[in-house]
Amino acid sequence: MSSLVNPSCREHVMLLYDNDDQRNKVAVKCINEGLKRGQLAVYASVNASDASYMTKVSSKITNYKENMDRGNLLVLSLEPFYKRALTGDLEPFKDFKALLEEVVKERTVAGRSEEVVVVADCADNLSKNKKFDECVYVERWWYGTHFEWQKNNLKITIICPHPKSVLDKNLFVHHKQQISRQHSLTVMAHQVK
Amino acid sequence: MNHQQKENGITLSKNGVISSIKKLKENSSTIAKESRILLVDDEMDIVKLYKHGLRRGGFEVEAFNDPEMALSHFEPDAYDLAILDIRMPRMNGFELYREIRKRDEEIRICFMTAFEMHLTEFEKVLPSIKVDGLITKPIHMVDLCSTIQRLLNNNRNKT
Repeated sequence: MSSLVNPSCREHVMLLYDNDDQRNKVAVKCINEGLKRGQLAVYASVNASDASYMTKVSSKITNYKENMDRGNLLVLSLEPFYKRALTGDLEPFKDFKALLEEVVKERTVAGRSEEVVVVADCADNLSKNKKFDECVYVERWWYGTHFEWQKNNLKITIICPHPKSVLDKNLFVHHKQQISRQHSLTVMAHQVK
Repeated sequence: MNHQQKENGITLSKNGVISSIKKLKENSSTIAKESRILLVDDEMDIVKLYKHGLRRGGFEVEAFNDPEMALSHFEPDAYDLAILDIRMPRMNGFELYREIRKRDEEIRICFMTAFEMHLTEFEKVLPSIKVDGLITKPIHMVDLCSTIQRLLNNNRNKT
């Protein structure tokens, strides 16, 4: 676990999960670990505008409301990102990147932790729905963004869950390799303690 | 004839826009016809499209596709509202925001973003930035005009 949100990690992680419960559990663990370390935690989900889904997730995030109010936690709906990614439009991602960089700058000036952990499931939903070309396109953008952040010494970790059950099918192994290549680290969710 | 215009993901029917704006004008007696808007976006097509639509909506618009040029022409109290894109080359919207604030503390400012975010959440993660609204692109012109009108009305209520 610590390797995923460790400040020195700064990886672009492919998190392979077996089922949705496991994915949510690990995602929340990463968010909570980031919050514990004083990092800015970003939970960016296609399901974030689903009230019942968020009620479940938020109940497991440490001091959810307090962390939201203090600006330690940002919850972002990726539904519009997903819809636009289906058309090859990554403009929302680029604006989100600009926002995140500004937030890091502001936190640094304010003497707060400049480290960020982002859990983002847009590509997860694309691979789940077998939109592999679009998924690789999104992950390639994250790859470039991660590379740029590393070069500029920005301490941002991006965790991208992906469904193992879909990607392990013989028919899709090629896509799994393509997606995996866009990441700097692949982690099995069941191994995350 | 219904002319379709597709630029940067924005599809507009010219006749549709014109009729929507006419409707907005007819239905709204409170529209701030003399309000002056500063619009800054590096995408020329967006600038042209929004400038045209806002003018038709009754606003006076000064538009720039270069944030540095916008800043060099900026004068305090010259505008009621500034609408800034957040991602621009050389100077992004946040930098432009800070420069404008140094010159005019009172001006109402909105950011245009390609993703949706609540203003309250934005303010929590960027507490040093005080904006009046976040406009999600692409936006239908009639919605943009009514959003601006609402912001300016809020402004009047405050003062």
